[in-house]
Amino acid sequence: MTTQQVPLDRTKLNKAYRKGLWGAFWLTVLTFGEFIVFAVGDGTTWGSLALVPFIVLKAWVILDVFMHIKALWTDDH
Amino acid sequence: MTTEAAPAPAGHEATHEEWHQDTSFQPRANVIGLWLFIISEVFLFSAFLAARFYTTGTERPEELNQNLALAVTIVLLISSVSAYLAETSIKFNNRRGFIISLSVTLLMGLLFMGGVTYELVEASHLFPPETAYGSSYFMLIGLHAFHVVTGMIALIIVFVLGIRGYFGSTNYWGVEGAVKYWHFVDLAWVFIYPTLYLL
Repeated sequence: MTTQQVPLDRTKLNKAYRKGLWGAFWLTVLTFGEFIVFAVGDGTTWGSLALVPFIVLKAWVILDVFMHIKALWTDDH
Repeated sequence: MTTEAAPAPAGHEATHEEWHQDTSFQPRANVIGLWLFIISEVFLFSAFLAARFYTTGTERPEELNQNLALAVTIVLLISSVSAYLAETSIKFNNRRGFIISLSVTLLMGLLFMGGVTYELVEASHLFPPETAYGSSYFMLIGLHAFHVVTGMIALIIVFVLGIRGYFGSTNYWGVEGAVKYWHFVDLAWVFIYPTLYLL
């Protein structure tokens, strides 16, 4: 919440940065994984379905790490 | 949480004026309002994503520029990471980090738009908008590009206000809102990219 007084704690700041970089790492891995699966795939329905887990996981990383969706129900921001 | 109002003294009922003056609920309302807006956008994009599969199934032209699409995808993901770093920086009053990170985000946004523009010009020769795939392709890319542009406008406003010292650790809703919208733009691309290029 914007009205909260956030303590200027270097440790917490670095922890938050690390969380973002961790999200970036997973997005990179999943994006290249998705492309590799596409490149080696045979273009069939099963080949296309193999991409779905990558899409879902990437979406979840963005929602969880970057958009803080859990704060909606945990009230922790 | 600061969103909870202090309990009224026994025997005291809040007057209508007091209720209006109490703004402690505002931040929570802002966040929920933004999420509702994002959900409405999800419906909009979902309709066009569904239309692509309805009209052409999983068929797509072989001429699609896969390397460029992968490149702009990576550029947009980098922009999301830098936007996150900008938001985190301002939350902790790290103004320098905020300005650097947001500059990177805007630069990546420009790069993305450059790549997409090139892609659109190239695609217009290969599969015109009159074709079934072309109509889905240009509609989705165009709709997304429009969101990128509006997101960049929001980020530029936030950037200018941030330079003027408008935001800090206790007042960063503007940054949070604009950055969240930017992440949504990235999220939409996570679905658009495979829908148009990979599936």
